[in-house]
Amino acid sequence: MSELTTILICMISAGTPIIYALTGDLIGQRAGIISLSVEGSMLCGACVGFMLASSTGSLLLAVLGAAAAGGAIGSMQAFLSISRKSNMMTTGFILIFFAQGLTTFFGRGQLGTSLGKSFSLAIPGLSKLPILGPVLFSQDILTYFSYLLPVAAWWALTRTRLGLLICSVGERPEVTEAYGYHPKRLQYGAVILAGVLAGIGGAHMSVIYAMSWANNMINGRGIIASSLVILCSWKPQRAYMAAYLFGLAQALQIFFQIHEVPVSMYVTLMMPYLFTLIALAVISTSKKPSMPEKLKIVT
Amino acid sequence: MNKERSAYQDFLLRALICCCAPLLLFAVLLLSQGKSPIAAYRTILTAIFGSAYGFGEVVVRATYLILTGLAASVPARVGLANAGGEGQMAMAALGTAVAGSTILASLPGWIGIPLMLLCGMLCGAAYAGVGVFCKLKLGMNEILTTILMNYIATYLISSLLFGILRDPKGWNYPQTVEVAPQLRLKSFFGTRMNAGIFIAVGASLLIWLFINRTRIGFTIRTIGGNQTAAVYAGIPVKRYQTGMFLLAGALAGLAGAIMVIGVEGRMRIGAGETMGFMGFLAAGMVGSHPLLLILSAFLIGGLTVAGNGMEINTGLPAATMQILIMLVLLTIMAVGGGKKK
Repeated sequence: MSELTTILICMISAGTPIIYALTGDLIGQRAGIISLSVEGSMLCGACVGFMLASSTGSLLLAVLGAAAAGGAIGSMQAFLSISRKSNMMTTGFILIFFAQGLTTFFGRGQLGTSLGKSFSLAIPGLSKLPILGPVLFSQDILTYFSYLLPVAAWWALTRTRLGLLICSVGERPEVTEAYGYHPKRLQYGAVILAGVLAGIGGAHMSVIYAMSWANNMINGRGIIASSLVILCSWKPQRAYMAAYLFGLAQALQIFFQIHEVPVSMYVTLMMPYLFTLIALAVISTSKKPSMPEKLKIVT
Repeated sequence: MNKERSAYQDFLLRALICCCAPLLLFAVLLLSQGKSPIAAYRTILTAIFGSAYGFGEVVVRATYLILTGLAASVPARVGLANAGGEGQMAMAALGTAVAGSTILASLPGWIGIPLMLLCGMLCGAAYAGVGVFCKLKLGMNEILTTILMNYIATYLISSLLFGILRDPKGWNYPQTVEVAPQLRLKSFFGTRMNAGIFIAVGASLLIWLFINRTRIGFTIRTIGGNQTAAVYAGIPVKRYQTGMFLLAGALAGLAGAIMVIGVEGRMRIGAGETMGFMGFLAAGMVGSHPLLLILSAFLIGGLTVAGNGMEINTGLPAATMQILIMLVLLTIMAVGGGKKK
């Protein structure tokens, strides 16, 4: 396998959990609620997903469990920031630590165990293509779904009534209400969906990418996903670019290793965060007409 | 809710829920794992009040939490949020430790200690400066920026401690050279408690006086109350915001400096971890009130110390206590905390 292929494979698999969390939070932000708690959802998804995958051996159960766990954190965020009108950022922050505590507590039996089973599933035919085959089509079922997710979100947000309603809540909830819909219900749905998707992304992280559980293994990826929504200018079709940019920053590690570049391991670990920060700084210089109106008040 | 009930009774009810609900939920959680909640709560109490050393640890943690909590409260007064206390504290600790073992090492204590504290404050303010620059010049969300900068600080410090700043005589342990002994604060009563707590409490008193009793403080409260009105009143809002954010960084930096000269004596990997985040939450718990912050800092400090006791006595991870702390905070948010704006 060539070096380029290895780096690209790593880029795709590091970017996949981000795509899930990013798309989820993007939908939530279009409805006017920023869920920093996607980080917590990812953690819970990773922990529950790994537990179920290692005890039942079923990927489907793992994903369902992870989605439920992520959704549970999402619904707490929804309740506190929609019904109780608490500061959404602080709420998200608290939920991250809550999820950290819970997963450390319940995941303590899973530490150090390895899954011993790979869920990768090459698509016959397509996986034989040069470069693209191993990079895109020799992954796993969750990654294949992630290819479709941003497009699906784009279609849903711009071409369906429900999606347009969700976007309208993020812009003018009074208008949505005047048309006889329930802004709060739509927000609840969007924020819980964000949690569910982030939970699935977390399951990808533990069950497929790392194949093990470690305390706090998400380590800021949810926060990065939440920040990358800005980089996408709240447009789901740009999620690929943002998530794989993160993936590439992560894959640099491999590049450094192959070429024996004398940089500290910690500097390479820092790269994804630095990349995100710099990317946000670059995008910030352009105007943000696409930012949902409701978010302009809080940020 | 019954509208006839007085506000006072309403407050008491909310306070009661905030005290009891987290303890009950936590007990259920422990029971589900076959652990006795009574033993756990006894462990918490003995870890905090059982020994002078334990209580000293609480005071030490409270010192950091008051300062990092102030670092979150001060910008909140001008409509900004600083979630970067963690990174600011860590960078300041590193800066102080390096200064204390190199350029400041030969100074006598009476001038050296204040300079060390100043050094920490400058480092913290400088790191916060990046965050406020991103906010005011580039329009980036300061919460996201400062959180990302926390991660960057952690990895930067790790790479330095494993690299050029590693103490050559430190048995290969990732830590800096120890600071000169005359630059250290004295510990009291055989614990790790030190004069830092007086600095922290003094800082929160000063901040309270500054915000509530001075002319500048009045301007600050105006900005916090209604930013648009403040702009129309001709107040240079951005300048005040910059100043307050740098002050916040300096306060978090003070926590880092006190950690180095009071407790650790050097910067080592993982020192002061999560204290910045917890400080942010301690501030959130009391609505950024500088004096009430002292109480919430002691509460959260006590619970984190108890977490270590839990790990030793019941075999549960120390992070278990994080669940209890967060349950308290979530309950406060859910019932409105008795704090009415």
